[in-house]
Amino acid sequence: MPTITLNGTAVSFTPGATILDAARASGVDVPTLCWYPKLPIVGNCRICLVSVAGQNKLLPACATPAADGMVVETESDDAVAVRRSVLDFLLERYPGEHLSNGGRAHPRNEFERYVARYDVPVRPRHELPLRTGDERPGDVMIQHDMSLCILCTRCVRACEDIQEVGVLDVGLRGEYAEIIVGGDGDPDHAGCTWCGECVRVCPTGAIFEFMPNRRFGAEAVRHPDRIARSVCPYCGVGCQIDIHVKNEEVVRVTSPWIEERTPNQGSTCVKGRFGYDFPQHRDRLQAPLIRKGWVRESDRWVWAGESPRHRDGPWTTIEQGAQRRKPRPPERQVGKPPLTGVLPVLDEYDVRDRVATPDSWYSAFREATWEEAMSLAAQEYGRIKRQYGPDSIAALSSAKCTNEENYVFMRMVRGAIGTNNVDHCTRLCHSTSVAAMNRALNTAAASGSMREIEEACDVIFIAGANTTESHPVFGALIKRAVTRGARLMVADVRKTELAELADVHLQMLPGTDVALYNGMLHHIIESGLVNEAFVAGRTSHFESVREAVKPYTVERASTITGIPADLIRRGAELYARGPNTSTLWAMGLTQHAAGTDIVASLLNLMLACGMVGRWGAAMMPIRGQNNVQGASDVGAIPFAYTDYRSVDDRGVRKEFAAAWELPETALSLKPGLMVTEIVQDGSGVHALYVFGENPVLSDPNIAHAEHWVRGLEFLAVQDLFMTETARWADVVLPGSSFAEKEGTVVNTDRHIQHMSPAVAPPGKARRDLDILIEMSNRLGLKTIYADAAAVMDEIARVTPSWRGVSYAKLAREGALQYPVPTPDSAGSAFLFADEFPTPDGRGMFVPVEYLPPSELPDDDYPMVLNTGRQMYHWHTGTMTRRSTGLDSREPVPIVEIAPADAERLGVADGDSVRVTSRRASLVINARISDRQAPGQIFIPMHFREAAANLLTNPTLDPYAKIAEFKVSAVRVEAVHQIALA
Amino acid sequence: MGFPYPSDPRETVLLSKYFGDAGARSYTGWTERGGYEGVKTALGMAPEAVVEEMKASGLRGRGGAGFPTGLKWSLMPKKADKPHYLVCNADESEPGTFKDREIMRWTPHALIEGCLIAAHAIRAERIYIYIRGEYTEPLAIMERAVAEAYANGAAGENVFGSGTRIDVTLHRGAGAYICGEETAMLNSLEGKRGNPRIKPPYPAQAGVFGLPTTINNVETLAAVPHIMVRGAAWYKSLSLSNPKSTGTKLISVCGHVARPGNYEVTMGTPMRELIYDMCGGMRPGRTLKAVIPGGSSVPIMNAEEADRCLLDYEGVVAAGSMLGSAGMIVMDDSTDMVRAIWRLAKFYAHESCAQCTQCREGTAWTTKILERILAGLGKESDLQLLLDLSENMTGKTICVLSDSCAAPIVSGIQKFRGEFDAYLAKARTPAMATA
Repeated sequence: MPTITLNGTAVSFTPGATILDAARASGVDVPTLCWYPKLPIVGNCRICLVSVAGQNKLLPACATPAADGMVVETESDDAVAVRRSVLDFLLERYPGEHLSNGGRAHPRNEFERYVARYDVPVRPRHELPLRTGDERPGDVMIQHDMSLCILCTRCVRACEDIQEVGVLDVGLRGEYAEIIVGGDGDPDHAGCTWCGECVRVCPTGAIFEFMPNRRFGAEAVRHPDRIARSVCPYCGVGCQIDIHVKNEEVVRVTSPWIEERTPNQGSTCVKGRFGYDFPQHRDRLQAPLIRKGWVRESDRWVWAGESPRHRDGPWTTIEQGAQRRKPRPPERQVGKPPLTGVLPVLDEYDVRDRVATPDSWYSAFREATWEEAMSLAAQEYGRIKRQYGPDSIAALSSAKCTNEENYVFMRMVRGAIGTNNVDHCTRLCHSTSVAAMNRALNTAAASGSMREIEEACDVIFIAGANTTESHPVFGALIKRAVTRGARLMVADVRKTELAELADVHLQMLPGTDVALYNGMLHHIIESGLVNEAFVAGRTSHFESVREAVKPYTVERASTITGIPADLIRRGAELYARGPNTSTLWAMGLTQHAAGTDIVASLLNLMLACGMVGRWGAAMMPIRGQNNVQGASDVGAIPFAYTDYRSVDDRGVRKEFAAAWELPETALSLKPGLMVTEIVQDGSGVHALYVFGENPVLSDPNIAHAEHWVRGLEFLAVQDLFMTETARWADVVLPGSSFAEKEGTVVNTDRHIQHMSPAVAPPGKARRDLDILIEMSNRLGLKTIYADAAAVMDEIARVTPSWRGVSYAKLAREGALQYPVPTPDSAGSAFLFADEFPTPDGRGMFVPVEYLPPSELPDDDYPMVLNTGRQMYHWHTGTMTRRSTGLDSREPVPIVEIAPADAERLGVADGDSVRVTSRRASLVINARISDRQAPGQIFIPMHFREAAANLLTNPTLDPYAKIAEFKVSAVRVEAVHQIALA
Repeated sequence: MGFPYPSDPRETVLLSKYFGDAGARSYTGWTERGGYEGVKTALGMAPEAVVEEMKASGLRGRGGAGFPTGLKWSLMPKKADKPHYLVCNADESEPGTFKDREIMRWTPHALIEGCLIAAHAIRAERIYIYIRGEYTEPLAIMERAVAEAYANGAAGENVFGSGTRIDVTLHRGAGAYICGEETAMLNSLEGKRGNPRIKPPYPAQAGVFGLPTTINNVETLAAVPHIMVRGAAWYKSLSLSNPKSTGTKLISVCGHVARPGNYEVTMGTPMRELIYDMCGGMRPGRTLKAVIPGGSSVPIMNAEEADRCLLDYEGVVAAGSMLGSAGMIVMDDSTDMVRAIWRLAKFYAHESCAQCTQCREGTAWTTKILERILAGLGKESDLQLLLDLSENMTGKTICVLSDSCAAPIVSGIQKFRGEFDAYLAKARTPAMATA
């Protein structure tokens, strides 16, 4: 290995390294300001200049390649003199008076530390004015104090080269140079996503998080008591985050150091960095609640309320609320100073003090002790089980909760109640992917890693996934891959950000996916682009698919999908030629009544081209929630125990009965009901236990779901807030948020990651695992776990592919990418290099036919409704609508309408419209957006006051029981044309 | 020639032969005057042979740095497995320099021909000519000339039937001095902010769009056809003093001389001959006080230094300055040197791209100090502060704009200390016209 002499010591370096790389690797601290790992090197701060023997000038360590035999002095007199002069120049325009006396002992940031380290005198002179720049006034998340800016341009490069957004830049020149936000100071115009990458890289705090400083003061932000490493509670990317705690309060969330090997590589999105304050919201439940009407008579709870039970409350139902006109969002104050008008009082923005849950929602309840609440729940579940049988009870687990909690929960439902009626929101999400992947490859998770998309993939095919909004950190990674040179192809009905960036955008008509993928495969077969070696060696039943796609000529596919035939051909060739194509998909494919078929047709395409089982050719369903993968993996699904082993397999039952010390007969062999089946009339379910879910908003056709929930005999809800579901409950159990619990979660590329608790739950709220353990015991199942680690030990024992997982190993490795079959296994970055886990080791082609969506537009309902997520909100909004920063971005519900449709309807941006489907109607504000194709509208699912799922079609996929969330026929009318309720 | 004045017999007119002759602007006019013969010769030669010819001629870069042109071309990769680019630096913004402007105004085809030869030598298929935004008339003339070159088969798919493809693209700058710095120009061409790039990588390795690129000055390229036609040996013989400086040099003379203008002289001509003979001497009744010989970015010479200076790369260095772009600013005894230096510093403060700390803050800071001195508010310590700042601004930054600002300040204080002291002593109290 080549070596350089660094300050008299021989230091070896890897070829291609800079002097700075070599110095850092050997522990020599060369000061840097503009340099930051992974950012492009610009070498403009000039503080890292070092002496190199034989050079008449000092050279920048950050930009000078190390050469064998080089003799470098990092702290030579010349180098130190330059460093002092650089700091002196910068201090000239920096408000650093506090550094002239005692302040020097307490430097506040990276820059001030160097001032102290090189003992640069601070003279009160300021011949040049303090620096200025765009300030983001009134922004509750990110603000600027540009007098602190030293123009290192890290923020500019982080925005441009890590997040690939390019909001920030250097404006003007010479002494007037400053950091600007877009051309006009409006971050919205510039496409800002509030990811906070700029905050993270700023060396002086010129760009800072506004809310923590405002709420807790700069001192608390600067000097937290402790920092707990955890995992972001939002999407399936599984970003690791650091929770800062001061005085037992979460004050701030930061991301890990960029060079740590985390799935997020140190980034977060806006939700991760700014969406952490909901646990402190005043709506947070702090004591158990029991519905008024339940009274205790000599150790027995009796219902003294009206009979027969039909729940009611002094509040409007979702359906009634939807009829009200929605407010307009407050005016934003943006742009360059001086701003016109008055800046809003920022305290008004703190939604922690703004009531999200109406007081009336609590009025049906009284505060109770844990003993009361638990005994009531245990008594009623016991009674109903005896009265109607175990299958009359169903339980919803949560993809937002840990593996340990999900495991204990499903163990409780299966072991104590004796039913397999346990499911969670994967049903509404990737259940069709799981069904299709199970059928074809006997697997239920991504085959590859996000990292390989960035590093090795040649063509990225994204089908039905708005990655930059729903998984922003992954979205940024994809954009970096495109910058690196990967080709991008997007199949989406909407013109998403990635679709705009794509080489090929296949904008099909809603629900016509099967025709598209069959047509693409047809063309691939016709053009001889099938990977024959792969098909012959690794797959079976190709002939049936070859036959099945024969009728799907490109022309026919073009007629059905509305995509020009040439574009389909181009897309098919791009996909097949690879050489390494990764296949990504999400809700756009799965949330259809034909979802399983759609995914199956995509998998056929993938197998025919052999685009799986190599580094760079990943099969990747992008998972939605932070633990939707794990919750399924550990068996919180109605047909399988851990590792997707069937409940109707007696051998498996025997194993679990032994592990749980139960007689075999205590465990049911009958697969349970799924989320969407539970709420159907005639499901036979009389009692429900809901753990951290909100089915009243997330199920299709809410009006029905809400009506069904109101008729239950008993409902217990374990949650953080009084949700739309919890208000109908008999017992509400206050649980713990992500910051208050320990456990593990699994992200979209199979990383098992550990969450450390940062603070204690508020008031009488308890950790969820403790609640579930006590509930299990009260339901008669002996349950003793010392802590979450003990639960994981048991999961590892009963889960073959997790056998090597333990908290000790997780602490050592940071994250484990399962399968981890043995304690010394390092995990698997990608799977299926040699064979698939099917009985014959081959991937199976499954022929599928195109079926139109179950509800097509007609004269009465001429438009198609699509539903999904926004960047700033999360699912039913329980968390994000109680998060100050996030809610400030999207405070009111909107429907996206194509410009042509808006014109036809006579609707301007912000106007009220009524959207009506065959099931219900709602009033909502229009947002005119060219992301929508004409004839289609989009309503995000997050808003209670205009719940998209009132309108959605509950038709189910025959295999996975997912509803057709993505295609419903609707009618849109401008509100001034109709009377308002 | 000292256009608009008639040519002086002591000049060696090569590039400036047709200045003032509007007939030379058109393609036919240019071919009638012997144009486009050099490129035909070059296309018949192997690229390496053209490079060797250039090396033998001793031609050096006329933009300011004086880097041997043949050597620069030889640094380009020999394989053309990825596109190569030639960028012609026509962003002539150096104060006091206006030679490229006249080349483009009168002999646009000379530049195009030089570009074509260079492109052939470095195996480039694309030439970018980056023209200063304020040069509207030269731009219009160049546009016409490029269109004519395409129409006559001198550019495009098949240059003069040789089978070689060379395209010419004109790019208009947007008014930033720094874009005359070669790597800033590359960024600007790519549509980015015109910040100079850190080197390495050098443009020959990774230039515009990250691909091998050679950047040459207008005057350099305009000299190339002459070498192709008349031979390297002839060109090399044009040298009066040092054999390392060959050929002719256009000197833009401005300031307090009787006949300012562009003068083309053989390398090594004495400066006094240029000032006193060709330019007609100083204005009546005035005496020479100072000369900035190479655009504004080089040290100031006093009269004694100017008197013994020979106009070639080595000669000007020996006289305490640099040849630079050879934009000579001549100042007589009526000049307030402090004010002149302040004005130069203000220019650099205005034009700093603001990436390097020393330059961004230093140019503005020194300007403020000079302003203060001019206003009669200077302190005794200010001169030392100026020298300290200038020292920290020299040789520490990515490009040399910062050094350029420091050079006149340091040399000015050294050579005209008395005037600074006078200000400091408030012996004179001039009113500042502008701040």
